[in-house]
Amino acid sequence: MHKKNQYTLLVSSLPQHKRDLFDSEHTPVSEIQLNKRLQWLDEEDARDLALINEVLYWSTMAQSSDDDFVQHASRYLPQVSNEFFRRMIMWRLEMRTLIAALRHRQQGVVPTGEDEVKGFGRWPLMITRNWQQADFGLGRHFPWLEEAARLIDEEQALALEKLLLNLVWQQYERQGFGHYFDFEAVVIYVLRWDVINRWRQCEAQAALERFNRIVDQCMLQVEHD
Amino acid sequence: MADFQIILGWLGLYAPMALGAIGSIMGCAIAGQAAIGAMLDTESGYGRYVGVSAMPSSQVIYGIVIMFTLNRPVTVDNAPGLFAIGVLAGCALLFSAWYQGQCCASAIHASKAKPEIFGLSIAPAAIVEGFAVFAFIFALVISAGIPGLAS
Repeated sequence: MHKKNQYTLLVSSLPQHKRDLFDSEHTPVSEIQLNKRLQWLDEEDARDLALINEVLYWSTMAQSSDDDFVQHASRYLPQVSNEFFRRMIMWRLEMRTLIAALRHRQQGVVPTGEDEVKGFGRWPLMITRNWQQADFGLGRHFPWLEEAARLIDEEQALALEKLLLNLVWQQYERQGFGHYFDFEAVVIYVLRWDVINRWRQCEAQAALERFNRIVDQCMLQVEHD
Repeated sequence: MADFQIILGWLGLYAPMALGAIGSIMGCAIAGQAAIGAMLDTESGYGRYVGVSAMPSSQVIYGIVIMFTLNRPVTVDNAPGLFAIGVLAGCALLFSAWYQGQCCASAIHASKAKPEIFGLSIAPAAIVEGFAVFAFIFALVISAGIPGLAS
């Protein structure tokens, strides 16, 4: 079967994503079902998907330092055999570099040397040199950067997450153009599924916080009575 | 040289049938996989998915008709004509079936999520079919000029 139609069966068996990320009340397919379908991937493609997850999954690296993450991703990235995926991963890693720099700046960190900012892609040096500018002088390349900086400064975590997830969602949609039934389409589907899943988890977290607030208020009322 | 020309003539004679069949195999396989995939994700409409996935099978029928139309004793005089028409018509049928299969797969995939667009979604596949019909009709028309057909 031609590469372009290699995964027609797999892609067709998956429910489509909604156009707008925030219209999705839940993931279009359960994790169990998705993993069952992904067993149809051939060995090499399954390995590539695992590698992509290895590089991108924030949750596996959440407890690590920037240095650890840079080393981890740098180790796995060259093993991804497909140039399309390497570019896609690099886009995400550049985005994370920018967000990490914004967060460091908000915490009052000031880079002392030119190699102080750890990250990926073309921008670490530029970020260091323009540390005090709201958008690191990169607003022309990343129009969303100024808004992200504002949200970080105002500590609006949920709004920031919404902005970033929506950017990623739209970027995947653009990157998926022209890929309908090939491996790229499968990977983009899985990555978009992850984005929805993360957004749903954000909401779950917000709901839990709200629940805890209500419980605290009730407990205070009980104590007063 | 004459033998080589005769070989090309025979090749042209069978090419529309063989290439059309290859195209239909590819097209139906692609669209068929999409239909099976869609069945896993939906609760109804199975019949129309299978129906659409069979669309690329028409090319092999066109190929058979062209082959019978071209069929005549192969000579040095008519071999180049048989080769040119047979191979080119066969290629047109192969590619039209292949790409029609992709159109059908997309139509199945799209109409699965939005059943109301089913009719419209198969229009691209029908347009591709139209080009196969052009190749088929004009192969028949032009083959009348190849010498050697018993009157």
